[in-house]
Amino acid sequence: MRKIIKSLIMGQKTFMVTIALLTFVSALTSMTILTAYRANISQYRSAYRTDQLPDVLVKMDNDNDITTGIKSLKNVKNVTSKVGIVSQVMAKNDENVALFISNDVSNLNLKVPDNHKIILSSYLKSSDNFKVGDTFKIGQQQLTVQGFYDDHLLGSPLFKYKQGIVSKETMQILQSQKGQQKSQLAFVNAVKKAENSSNLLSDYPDRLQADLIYDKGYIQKAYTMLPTIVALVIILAAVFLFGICLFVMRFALLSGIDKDRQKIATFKTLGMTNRQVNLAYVMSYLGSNLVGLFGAVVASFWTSNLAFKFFWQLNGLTSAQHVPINIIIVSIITLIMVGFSTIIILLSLRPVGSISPAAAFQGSQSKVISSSGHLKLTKSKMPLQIALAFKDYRQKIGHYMTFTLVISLFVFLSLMIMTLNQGFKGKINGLFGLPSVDLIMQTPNDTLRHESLQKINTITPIKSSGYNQETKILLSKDVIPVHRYSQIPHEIKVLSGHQPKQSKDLLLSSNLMKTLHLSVGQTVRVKTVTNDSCWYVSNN
Amino acid sequence: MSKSNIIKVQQLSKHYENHKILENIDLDIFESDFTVIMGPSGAGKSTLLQNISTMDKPTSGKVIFNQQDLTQFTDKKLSQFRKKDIGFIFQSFNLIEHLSVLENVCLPGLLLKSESKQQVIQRAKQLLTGLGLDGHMDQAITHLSGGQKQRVAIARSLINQPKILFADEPTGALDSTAGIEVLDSLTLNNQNGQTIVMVTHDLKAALRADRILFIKDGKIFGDRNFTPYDASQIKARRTEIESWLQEMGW
Ligand SMILES: Nc1ncnc2c1ncn2[C@@H]1O[C@H](COP(=O)(O)OP(=O)(O)O)[C@@H](O)[C@H]1O
Ligand SMILES: [Mg+2]
Repeated sequence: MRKIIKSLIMGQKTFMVTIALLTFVSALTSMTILTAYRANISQYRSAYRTDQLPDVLVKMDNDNDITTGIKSLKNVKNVTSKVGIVSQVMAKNDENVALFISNDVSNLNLKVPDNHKIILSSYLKSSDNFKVGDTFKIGQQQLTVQGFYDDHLLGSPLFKYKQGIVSKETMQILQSQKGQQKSQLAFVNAVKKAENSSNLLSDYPDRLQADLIYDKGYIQKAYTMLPTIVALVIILAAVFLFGICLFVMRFALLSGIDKDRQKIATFKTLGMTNRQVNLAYVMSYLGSNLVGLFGAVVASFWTSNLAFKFFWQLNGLTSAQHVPINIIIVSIITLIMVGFSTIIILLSLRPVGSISPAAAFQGSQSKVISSSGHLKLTKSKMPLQIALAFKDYRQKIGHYMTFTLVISLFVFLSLMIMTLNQGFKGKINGLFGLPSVDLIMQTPNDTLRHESLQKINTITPIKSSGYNQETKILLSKDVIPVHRYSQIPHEIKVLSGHQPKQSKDLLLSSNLMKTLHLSVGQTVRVKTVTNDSCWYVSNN
Repeated sequence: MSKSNIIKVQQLSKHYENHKILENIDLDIFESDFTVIMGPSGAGKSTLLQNISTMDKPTSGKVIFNQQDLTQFTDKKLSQFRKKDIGFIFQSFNLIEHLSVLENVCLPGLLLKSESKQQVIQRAKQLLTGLGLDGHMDQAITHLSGGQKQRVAIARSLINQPKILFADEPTGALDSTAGIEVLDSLTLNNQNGQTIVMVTHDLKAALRADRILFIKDGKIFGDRNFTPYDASQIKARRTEIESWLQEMGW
């Protein structure tokens, strides 16, 4: 049997190599990606556990103590809080980064930084926003970046706040500066809630004022969403590659059997049964498959670690651990691939049974073809021609198989891409289970906002709400949101003109200046519901 | 002396669509005979050989071997019969490329599995040596001459010590020297008791026959026995056989 398999393999060397290579690539990518993806989730979970991070995280932008209120809830085990400030800082690449700065290193495996220094969450390093030694100002206080740490809580690029740690003294300096937004993070550990009880975390009365309330599940999703998207795309590519591999297999088998008619017939004259011939084919083709798979398993030891590192960095984390091979994933992929290959091989082996040993005699092959061969299309009428063409198609289904397979693979791929595209269209959060904003309300009136929130809350419980101060302006036909500042944030650089000094001075962004074709010193008319006045433009 | 028959063909017909190639053939093949089938091109010689040897299935009729009708055999029983009881030699050799000479010869022996691999290899080497191929055992098939290839094919056909050896134009693709070598080794085997059924249109090959069947118009047109081949009386034999064949309309 080994000899026969050898002769079959040697007869189709190029195909065998192609099949092994395609299997290798598709198995390698899928094993690598799935292993890295699973590792990403499990390592994230264990890091979260070892850091003793909370079941629920609440962020509140005020000065009052928030722990007592939360502690009184029935399903809350314990609450600790971190006090800090939230500040926008300008990163190297001109990006605005929102930082939650505190001096609390509990739950962090971290030494307190020196005075006037700051340790940042590692995403800010991997995204090239900062490096050690960089300096920036918070108000009047200059801070130097002393290092980075992996932040499993707010380090994900999907969170709007990144963390920074400073010493106690530095914290006091920062807090004492005027105009800093005081903020608190409450770490809540919950117990399983008793059924039908009230006064639970979900009924927390102050949650309407909370900037964010995230539970553990959501935080994990934020850390797995980017890898999920990447993994999906790559898996799709791997599936496509494997489809091509199956297609090559089928083509190689059909053309190989056709080419090897005499050889197969000779095997039969030597006393091989149909089953043995089929088995030889199955073994040689599966063999080539298995070579690819084996190579993939071996190579995936290395590549899964690379992919995992990539995922880990996508999450804004740097200290990746070694990933062992995932037996379950490897065996499932092997099973699936071998299964599909076997099906394709068995389907393609049908012609073997119909080869008579007599085909071993020279010339009998051409006789068979000429006796059952061609269709005469010359004299028939149109409808008959279509019927004949259809008959022709059915007869030559083997030849069209190539075409059919390519088309169906193409359709499959386009459908997948369309679904992905559809899924991502503005609802990434929903698709991956991240909380989405259900309602946006716009009002300049704080009291009105509170009242509305309370009213809505009686109809349907609000989990958390945040607010953003911005103004929309009407530009010819487009509504453009603009941020309105009463005090110029330090990261805004004045390009020309000057900071507003008089009550009617106005500083506009350079982009808006261009859009409106304005220049410094010109007068614009700002019309609001309550006010209609003229402003003098300077530029930033 | 009456020879025992090894194959009995009864009322065998073979049709291709409406084309009747063989019609109601009755025939006995005798043990230890060198039977040669001759006839005009396209007469159905190869077809007859294929139908007797289970390479093809007759449209109707029986082929009795060992009191069993071969035409009723299942795929499994057929393959067993082909492995164990017959050997085949083709005009185009039909050796398996990508395998060495020795591997080709061993192949049917390893398929049969009635002996150990060592025994099979041992006998393959003996056969190849006997056929003057001892220097070529590990060579690739593609490097052999036509005559060498056909001798490898003979060794392959004999590896399982078959009851009958079938050959279809074994000298058809060879020059005359190589052809003679091949015929000599067939004759030698026949003299050692090997039953041979050979199709040919080559007079030189026909000279080796104990018995010649002449096929024409789908029937056995002539059937004649000759004295066993003797190289020293080749001239007389040639005249005898040639004149008979001419009688048959060759
Ligand atoms: N598979 C086949 N299909 C149709 N006709 C065939 C087939 N095999 C042989 N024939 C026809 O049967 C006849 C006898 O062929 P064959 O036995 O090969 O002749 P030969 O006596 O030359 O060996 C020829 O006319 C040939 O065309
Ligand atoms: Mg012939």
